[in-house]
Amino acid sequence: MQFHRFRAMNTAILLAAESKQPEQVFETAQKFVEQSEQRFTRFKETSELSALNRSAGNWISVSPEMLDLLLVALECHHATNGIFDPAILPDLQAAGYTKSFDQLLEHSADLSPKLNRGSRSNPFAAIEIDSLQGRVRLPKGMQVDLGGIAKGWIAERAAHKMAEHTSACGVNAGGDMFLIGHPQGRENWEVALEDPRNPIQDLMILLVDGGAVATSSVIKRSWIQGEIKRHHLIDPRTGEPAETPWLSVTVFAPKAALAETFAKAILIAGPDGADTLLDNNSEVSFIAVDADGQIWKSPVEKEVIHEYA
Amino acid sequence: MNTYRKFLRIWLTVSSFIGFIVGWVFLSHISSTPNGVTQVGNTQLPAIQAIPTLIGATTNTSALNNVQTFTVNTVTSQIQNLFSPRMRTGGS
Repeated sequence: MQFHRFRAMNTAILLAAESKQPEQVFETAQKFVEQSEQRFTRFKETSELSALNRSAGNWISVSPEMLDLLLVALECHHATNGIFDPAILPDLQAAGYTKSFDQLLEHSADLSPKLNRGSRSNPFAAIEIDSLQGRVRLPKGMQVDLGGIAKGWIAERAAHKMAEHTSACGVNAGGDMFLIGHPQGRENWEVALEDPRNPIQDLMILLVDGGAVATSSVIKRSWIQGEIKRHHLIDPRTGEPAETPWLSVTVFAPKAALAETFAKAILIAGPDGADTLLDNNSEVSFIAVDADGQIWKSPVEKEVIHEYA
Repeated sequence: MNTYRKFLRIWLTVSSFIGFIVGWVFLSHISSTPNGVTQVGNTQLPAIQAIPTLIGATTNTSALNNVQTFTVNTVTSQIQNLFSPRMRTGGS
């Protein structure tokens, strides 16, 4: 297995491919990731997402990639009973997440204690998508953040591009990954599950039989606003960073967008709401870690999850 | 012959003694700076800073001024990853 690392989307990207000459494979995948980042970032005025947000209230033509991601996001919004909601951007900004996370950490001392969020926008379900004509209309006041789901979507697309040239490959975008085939001589992929209480340690090794793995954590992207600790997982029901006993949730699913959005939704829903979320989504399973280091799992353990200490 | 030997002994003793005295006086009066080496200005050797202790390096409460703190274990982890990359998930 050959590996290639680079940085994009404000996170570390690891590409893996079973190939004797992987340079071309890696180059294609990296180019795709970097181009997609330019399209879906909310931190650049020139991105397609920024143009979409500026157009709120009016119809705007979008690229096939943007159209596809918005349709996937809408599907995940419904599948998570609205807990995954890309339209929480005004709440996220009110909590202080107004610039890329690297810059946010540099200037966290400048954050005002609480920005005025203004009137509550519509949920994401109010978006209008005209697939035939490739155009979209956000309701007036709606602002969309595609950060997490875009990362999963990009990882999966990049992995499929690599799979055109290799039998086994994987893309890991800061912990959100999509895996195809198996490494040579192995029956599954080894994925280390990071301990959210101490990120330099691993809790366990997960043996994953391909597909998507994604983790949401309230620890990683967190900052201090005034004197309040904030994180990036907004509960759309309150408009505030979610209060949850779990520190991280790792989800296994056949699609990266599904894994990413369910990781977020299950973490926000917590132990009381996780079962309900899984009722109509049998292909999703999860592992959660709480502040005491206790492990919580899906009610029905799926075959994709195996572990040893 | 006997007289000649006696003269030779005295001559060698006296000449050795004189040679020793002349050499001693000569060496004691030459400059202490070797030829070809000159002192340039008031050059001083750089002061060597004390090596910072690793005690407290894993916390942000280092008592050392102007020394960037770091986490030893994190560096170790990065080095390990460099040699054996592994898929790892923990959120971002």
